[in-house]
Amino acid sequence: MWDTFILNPMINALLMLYELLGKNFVLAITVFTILIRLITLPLNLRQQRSSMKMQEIQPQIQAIQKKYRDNPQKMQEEFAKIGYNPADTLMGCLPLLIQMPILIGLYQAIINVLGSTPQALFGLTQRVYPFIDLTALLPVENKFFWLNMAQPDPLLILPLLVFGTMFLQQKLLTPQMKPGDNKDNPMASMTQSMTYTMPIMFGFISLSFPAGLSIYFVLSNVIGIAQGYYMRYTMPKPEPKKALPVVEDAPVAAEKEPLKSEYSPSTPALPAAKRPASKRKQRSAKR
Amino acid sequence: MLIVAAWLLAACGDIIASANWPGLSAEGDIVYVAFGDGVLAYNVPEQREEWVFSPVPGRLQFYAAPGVENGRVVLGDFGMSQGFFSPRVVVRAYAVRQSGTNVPDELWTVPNIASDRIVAPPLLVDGRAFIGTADNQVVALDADDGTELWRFQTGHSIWGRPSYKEGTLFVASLDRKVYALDAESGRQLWMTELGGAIASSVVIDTDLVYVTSFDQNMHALDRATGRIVWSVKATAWVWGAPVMGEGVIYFVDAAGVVYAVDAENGRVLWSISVEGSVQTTPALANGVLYVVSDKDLESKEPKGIITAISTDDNGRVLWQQEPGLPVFTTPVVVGDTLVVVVPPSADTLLIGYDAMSGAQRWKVVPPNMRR
Repeated sequence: MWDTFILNPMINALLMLYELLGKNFVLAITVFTILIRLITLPLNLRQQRSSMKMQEIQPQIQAIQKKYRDNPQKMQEEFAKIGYNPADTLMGCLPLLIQMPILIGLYQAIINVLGSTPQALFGLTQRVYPFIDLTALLPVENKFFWLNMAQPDPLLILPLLVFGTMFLQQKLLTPQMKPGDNKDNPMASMTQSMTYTMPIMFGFISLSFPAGLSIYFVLSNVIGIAQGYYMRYTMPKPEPKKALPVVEDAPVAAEKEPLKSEYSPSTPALPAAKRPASKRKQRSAKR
Repeated sequence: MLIVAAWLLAACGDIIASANWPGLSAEGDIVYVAFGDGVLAYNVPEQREEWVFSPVPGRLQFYAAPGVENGRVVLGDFGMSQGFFSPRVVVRAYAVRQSGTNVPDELWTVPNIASDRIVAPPLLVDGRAFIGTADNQVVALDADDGTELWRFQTGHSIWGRPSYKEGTLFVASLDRKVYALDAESGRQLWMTELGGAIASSVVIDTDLVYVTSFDQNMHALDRATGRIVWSVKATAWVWGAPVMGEGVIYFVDAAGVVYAVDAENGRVLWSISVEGSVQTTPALANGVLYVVSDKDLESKEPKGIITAISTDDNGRVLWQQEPGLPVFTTPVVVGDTLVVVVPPSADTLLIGYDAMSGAQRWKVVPPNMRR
C-alpha cells in the first residue's frame, strides 16, 4: 500500500525528472519540491488562513466557551455567529498530515534512487516502472559540489540553511503580536513557540539526514517564505463575521461575568488593529 | 506529530542506508564473512569460529568481502559519522591477522581512507592492498603498514574487487568504464567506456579481459589497449563477474540464464536457465558451476536457490537446494564443502553443503545473535 501509492510513484517521478533535467539530481529534487508545494498549495493556504483567523478570534472563542460551558447548543450558535467552526481546527492540521507521508516517502525515495549499495540498487530495480529505462539513467549522480546526496552535509551549511529558512517562514506565517499578547491566549502562545521549536528541530534533523532531504527542506521553506510574504502583505485579511455577539444574547451570564472587561482596550490577546472595529460592531449591534 | 515523523524517518532511513548483502571470501580452510556488525573468520573443516572483528558493534557496518593474502586480512567498513554535530562520514580500512584468541590482532588502520563506504572487496597482492571506494576512488596501500601509495579517481562508485596481473590493475566502475592502471604509480594506461554501469570485477586472461555490465552484455576487451574485441548479448542486466574455466568463460544474467562462452571468440557453447533472479558471480570448482538465485522477489521474503551445474555436460543440473532464506552473495568452495552465506537471521549466517551431493552439512549462527 505504502510502496504502491507513495514510495514508488515518488521514486519514479524523481527518476523521470532526473532524466528530463539533464541527469542533475539537485535539479530533479528542486522541481519535485515545487511540484509538491503546488499540489499542496490550496491546502496550505486554507490552513494558513484558518490559523490566522483562529488566532484573531481566539479571545472571543474563549469567552464563549467560558460563558456557555453548560449549554453546548448555544455555544455552537455563538461560534457560528463569529464564523468559527471547531471542525476547521482539524482541517487546519490536514496540510501537516499530508506533509508527513511526503517527507517520509521522499526520504526513502532519495535513498532508493541513489542506490548507494548493491542491495539498495537491487531494491530500486523492483520499484521502477517498465517505461523508465533505468540502464540509461544509471548511475544516478550523487555528488553536488561538496555534498554527497545520500549523506549529511559535513560542513553543516545545509542544517543552518534549513534552520534559517524555516525560521523566516515561521515568522512570516505567524501573526505579529505585541509583547505579552499571548499571555492569555494559549493558541497564540503555542504558535509563537513553534516559531523557534520547528526550525531548531528541523535544523537538528538535517544534521543526520541525507543532504538531498535537507535540500528539499530548504527549497520548501523558500517557497513557504514567498507564500508567507504573500499572505502577510498582499492577501486580504480575514475578518470575523461578528465581533461580540455574546453580550446581548446572554444577559444573565453577562451580569455574572461582564464580557466587556474581556474585550477592554487593555486586553492583550485581541490584536490592536481589530479593537476599534469590534467596538463599532458591538455598538451597532446594540442599536 | 513532527517528532514522531522525524523518528520514523530516522528509523526507516537507517535501515535502508546501512544495509547490504554480506560479503564472503576464502583462503585455505577459512572463510571470512563481513556480516554487517563485523567480520567472522570460520574454519570450515573444523567447523570452528577462529575470530570475530567488530570494532564498534551496532554502529559500524562491514559488508565488503574481506581481502586475504597469507592470513593477513584487509577490511573496509561502511563508515561512521563522528557524532551528532560532526556528521562527516569517516570510512576506515583495517588489516588484521589471526592472534590465537577469538579476537584478531589489528596490524594497522587507515582512519580516513574515504568519505563514502567501501562496498568493493579489497585486493591483496604482492604486499599491496588495492581498495575501491564508493566515493569514486581506487586507493593503493602498503599492506605492511597501511601507508598510502597512490589514489586514482573514477567517475562513480566502485563495487567490484580490483583485478591484478603483471603490474597492471584493472578496475571497473559504476561510471560504465573499465580502467587499466599501472599498479606501481596509479597512472592510467587505458580506459574503455561500455553501455551500462559495471557492478563487478574484471576477469583477466592472457590477451583478453572480460567484464559484464548492466548493458546486458559480457564484453571481451584487449588486455593491452582496452579495445572491445567481442561481446555476448544476454537477456538482462549482468550483475556478477564472469568466471574463467578451461578455455571457457561462464556468466549469468539477472534473468537467470547461465552462459558458457568460448573464451577466445565469444561463441556461446551452451546456455541454460535457472529459476529466479541472479545478482551474483557464480562459483566454479572441480568442473561444477554453483549459481545462487532468488525467487519471490516481489514479496518481502525472497527465497534463495542454489543450483549446481556440470560444466562438462552442456550445463546439466546436478542438484538444487533451497535454504528457505535469500541468497545474494557469491558462494565459495572449501575442500568438498560449498559455503553459502545468507543475510544474518536469528539462527543462520553460513550454511555448509556437500559440494557434490548438495546435502546440507551444518549451519552457523551469526556471532551477534549468540550473545
